[in-house]
This record gives sequence, structure tokens and C-alpha cells, in this order.
Amino acid sequence: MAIRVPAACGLRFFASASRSRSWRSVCEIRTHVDACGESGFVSFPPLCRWFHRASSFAIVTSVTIEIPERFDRDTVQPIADRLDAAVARGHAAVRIDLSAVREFDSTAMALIVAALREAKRTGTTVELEGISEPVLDYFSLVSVRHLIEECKPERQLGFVERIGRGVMPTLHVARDSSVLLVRAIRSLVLGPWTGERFRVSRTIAEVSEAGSSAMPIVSLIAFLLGLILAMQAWLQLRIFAAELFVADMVAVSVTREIGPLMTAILVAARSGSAIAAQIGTMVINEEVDALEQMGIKPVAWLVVPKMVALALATPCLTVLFDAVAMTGGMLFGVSVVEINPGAYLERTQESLKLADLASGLFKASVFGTLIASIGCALGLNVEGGPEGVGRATTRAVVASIFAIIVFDAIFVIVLRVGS
Amino acid sequence: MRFLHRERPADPGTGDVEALIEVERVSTSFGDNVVLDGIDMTVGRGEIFVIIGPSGCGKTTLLRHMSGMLRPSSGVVRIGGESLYDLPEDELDSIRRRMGFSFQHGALLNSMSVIENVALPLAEAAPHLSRDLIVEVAQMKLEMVGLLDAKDRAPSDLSGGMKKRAAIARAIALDPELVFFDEPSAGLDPITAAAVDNLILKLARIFGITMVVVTHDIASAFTIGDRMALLFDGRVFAHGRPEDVQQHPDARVQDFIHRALPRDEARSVDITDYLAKGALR
Repeated sequence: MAIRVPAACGLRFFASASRSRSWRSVCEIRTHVDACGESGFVSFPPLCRWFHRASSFAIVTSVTIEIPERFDRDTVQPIADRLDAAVARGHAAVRIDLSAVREFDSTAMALIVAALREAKRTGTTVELEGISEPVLDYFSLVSVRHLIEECKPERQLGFVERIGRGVMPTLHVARDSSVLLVRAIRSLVLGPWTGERFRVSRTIAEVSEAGSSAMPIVSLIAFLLGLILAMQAWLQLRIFAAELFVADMVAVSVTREIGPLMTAILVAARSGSAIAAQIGTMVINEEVDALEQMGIKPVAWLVVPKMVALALATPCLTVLFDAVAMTGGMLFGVSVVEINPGAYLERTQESLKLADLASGLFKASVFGTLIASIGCALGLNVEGGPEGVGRATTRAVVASIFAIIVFDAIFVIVLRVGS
Repeated sequence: MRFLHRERPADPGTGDVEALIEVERVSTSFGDNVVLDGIDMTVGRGEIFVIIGPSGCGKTTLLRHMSGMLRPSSGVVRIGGESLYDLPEDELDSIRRRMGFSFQHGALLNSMSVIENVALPLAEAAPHLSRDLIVEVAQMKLEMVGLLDAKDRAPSDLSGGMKKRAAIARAIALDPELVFFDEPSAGLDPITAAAVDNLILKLARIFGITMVVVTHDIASAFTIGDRMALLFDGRVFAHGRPEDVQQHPDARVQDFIHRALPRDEARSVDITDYLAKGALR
């Protein structure tokens, strides 16, 4: 028996299910059904049409799959495999006999929809037999046509496309942060003419947040790194009986490279992440929109103070780092290598050049600006709610450290070529 | 049949249907703050039971007790005759899997797309099913709530009404026998709220799902409720069919239903009267 859907099925169904309701509410529901036909809550006609069309095809070979009494998520998988096999074997018609079914759930109904979709794709006819009133009731909640036609399988990405998907976010970060940097500099320089006031008090607060509060951790790491550097240098230099040069080694490597680099990485981890999280949260809460609506430029109010603060605070922290690291190195030199403190200080003074220190501080300032612009750019471009804030924070740290290393490499090349 | 043969009672709300949830003398306090004070109520199988009351009257706490999320300070909650909080954790979990909960703000997992959210309970409960079939079920649930076209969007990209509907789709993902709704229409415009009400009614009619709905939306409560309880300060004030609650003699019940301000607040202070009494002198 092919499926027969009574003409008045929809109405009768609702009338019987709503026995206890007044006739008015039945009418309301009917109207709602008609109105929702488009959006796909309930649609009988597509279902009927589909089945009629399906059953009108000529049958060449056919197979009947009898569904057992219990048709639910515990028993559905073997039936699904049999259905797949039947369709794959190229039968012109697959009959699904539902007359024995006494118990079913959504998974079972989903299997029927999946079979209908597969049949449509392969040109097979699927007939449903022995369909019961409850099954029809179930399908009154969905539009089978919508389910089958709207859900196209996901398109597989090509090789180039996949590479692009991986690389583009990095390029976007680079683009967004450089655009923001340019806008911040313009706001800072042209501020007096465009009315984008420079916020001194906010900048001081940011310097205190990013600079002063970071002093303990920067000092601790600098001290330990100074010790480590001195020890590594000593292990090598004692081979040549040149222990005194531990002082040179520590002073030069710290001021030129390790000081600015380590400080910048610490600032990226501490302040870069905080900036991205803070601005990202403000974006999510529409605070940035509110600023803009009140006529306050977010770049001048939020971004410029942070950028100036980090551009100032990072070199200051680097000076601290340099000093503490050299102290650490000296402590190791004096106590373990047993260098005379006066001699150690003298070697240090002799090896230190103002150019090294200055280039280190300049680098630190550039790194600070980079960290702030990346953090702000990622924060301002947050998408996807609180989850997005977390993502932006992580990416701010990773992108900042990456940018720091890249710019450091550029500096090394440029400065060496220059000297 | 799993649920379709659980016929909805011919006349839900008469109270003579089999009880599914029994709440007996449930009291709860957080510190000194007594939230619930000796609640007794019964939810019949197959009915839509609405709990109404002003904000902060303990509605949501009661719902959490009923759904096995929060143990009350004292009293018993029985579902299908079994005392919920005396069961071992694994049996409680298997009961939880037969219930759905639609949270006030959706509580969709933000790291997953809408369809992954809806597929998650089934993928966890039935790991032997193929991925395609699980996705198919999730699509069908989304189609029921009219969200199929938004299936690949992130929860944060959905409007308030869509989040509610996605939450309902997830709540019915495992074909539950019992679904709890916490404020299904709060924060929605009247038309979207009516659509959500309609969805709840339709799911109840076709699946025969028992529903417990907490709301402070009076219109919605009287539209969908077979029976209702009115909570005030942690106590049940009125309990019964919508008609009975509507005709309840207590003035506070009437004030709440008709959205009248309590009498002492409703009257504004007459400033001339106040001055005449010489209060400012």
C-alpha cells in the first residue's frame, strides 16, 4: 500500500488533538500553520506531493525493507546500513515498510529523511508503506522538502583555498594593526587641529598599569636571566682563561638584544593580552559604539593613550631590565667566578656603548608600539561574543611576539649594515 | 511508541491524570535568605504546568529543584515516583537524559555552531550512531523550531528569539518526556513571544511532552497553561487551572494578574497634603 494522506488530514489532526481547546484556538492554530507554511514549521502539501511524485515512477527492480517493531536510536543503525546498501546497489525502488513499527523516535524519522534525500540524489524511488497516524503527526512539525532541498552537502575546500584560509587571518592582523597605527599617529599629530585631544591623565594611568605594575616581575626575570647569562658565558670563557670577560658578555648581550626582547615579550604577555581583552569586552558590550555615539573618538580616547603608554613604558622597563640583569651577572661573577667587584664594574663600563643602549631602547619603544597596536586592533575587531574575546586575547599575544621577533631581525640586519 | 503513544490526556488540567512530578514540603534558603518555604505541588503527566510570580519569588530555584540541578534544603522532589535526590548519580543522569531544559538565556555553547549545539546531546547519548544521522536529527529539530537556515551560525550571531528557539531545539534533542522552560518569552517582543508559545503548545500536543514553564509573562501563562501555580515570597498562593487562578479571591493574586501596583505604592504622595501637615517646616 502506497502512502495515502487524507485530504483533510492537517485539519482533522489538529481538531482531534485540540479537543479540549475551544474552537477558536483551533482556528488560530490553523491560521498559524498556513502562515508558517513558508518558513517551514508545518507543511503537509510538499510531503504529499513528494510522495505522489515518488510513487508515480516506473518500478524496475525493487527491494522492500521491513522496519521492526522498535525503530529508535538503539536499533536504527543496522537499518541505516541496509538502506544505504539498497540505494548503493542501484535498485530503482526501495520500499520502506513501516507497518510493524510500534515505537519510534526522532532518530528514526531522521533516517527516513536521509533516505529520501539520498533517493533524490541518486534518482531512486523511495516508497513508504504502512505509515501510521503518529508518524504523520511527527512529520507535520517539519517540511520534508525544506529539509531535503535546503541542506546541500558541505563543499570541500580546494588546496589553495585551504592555504588562503590559514594565511589570511595573519595578513588581516598585520593590515588592521598597521591601519590602526597610522590612524593613531594621525590623531596624535593632527590632534590640535582636528580637536582629537591627547588624554594625558589616561596615558599616565596606562603607563602606571603597563609599566609600574610590571616592575616586580621584570626585575625578577632580569635578575635570573643575568645569573644564567653569566654562568653560560663563564662556562665557555674559562676554557680560554678569560673569566673577566663575563662582564663584557653580560653587558653587551643584555643591552643590545636580551633586554629589549625579553621586556617586550613580557609586556606582550602582560599588557598586550590585557589590552585585547579589555577593548574586546568593550566592543561586545557596545561600549565602543557608545563612545562613538557620544562624539568621543575611540582611537583618540582608547588607542592613543595605550600606544603612547606602551611606547614609553617598554623602554623604561628595558632600562630596569638591563640594570637588574647586569647586577645579577655581577653577583654571579663576584661570588662564583671570584672576580674583583671593582674590576667587574670597570669591564662593564668599558664594554657598554651608548649606541648599544640607545638602539636597545629604540627597539623597545618600537616593540611597545607594536604590542599596543596589535592588541588594540584585535580587540576592536572582536567577533563572536565572549568566545571571540578569548580568541582575540590569545592571538594578540602570539601575533605580538611574532611581530617582535620579525622586527628584531629587521633591526639587526639594518643596524649591522649601517655600522 | 516511545513518546507518540503517550497520549496527551483528553482534558489536561483536571488534575485526575497520573502525577509525573510531585513536590512535597520543599524549602530552600541561601544563608539567612529563605527562597522557598514549604512548597507543595503536583505536575500531571502530559500537561503544561506554568509557574508564575514576580521576580525573585523563587520560581527559577523551584525549577532547578524539579530538574535535578539543585538539591533543596529540605523536602522531597519525586519524578515518576522516584525521589530525585536520593538516587545515585548515574541513575540521576539517566533521568536527566529523559528531560530537557531550556535556559533563560539559551546557555548555548558559544564555541560551537547552532547545529553542533543541537547535535551534542545525541552524539553523547548515542555514540554508536553515524555522524550523518546525528546531523540529520539535529537538522530536523532545527526545522521544527524554524532555525534550519541558521544552522551554521554561531550562537553569538543569533537574535534573542533565535537563541531561545535554538535552546528549545537542544532541549528536545533527545526526545525528552519532560521539558523545563525558564522564562521562554522574557526579553522577546510580543510577536516572537507568541511564536515561542505556539511552538511550546505544538510540541506538547504532538509529542505529549510534559512541560513545566516558569514565566512572569501573564498573557503567555494563560495562553499555554493547563494548570498553574502562583508563587509569592517562596510560597504557593494559588494553584490550579487558569480559570481558578483568575478567580482567586486573594487581592495580591488579582493585583499580580491584572498588573496593578500594590495599593500602598500605587497612590502617589500628594505634595500639598504633605506640606499642609507641616512636615517641611
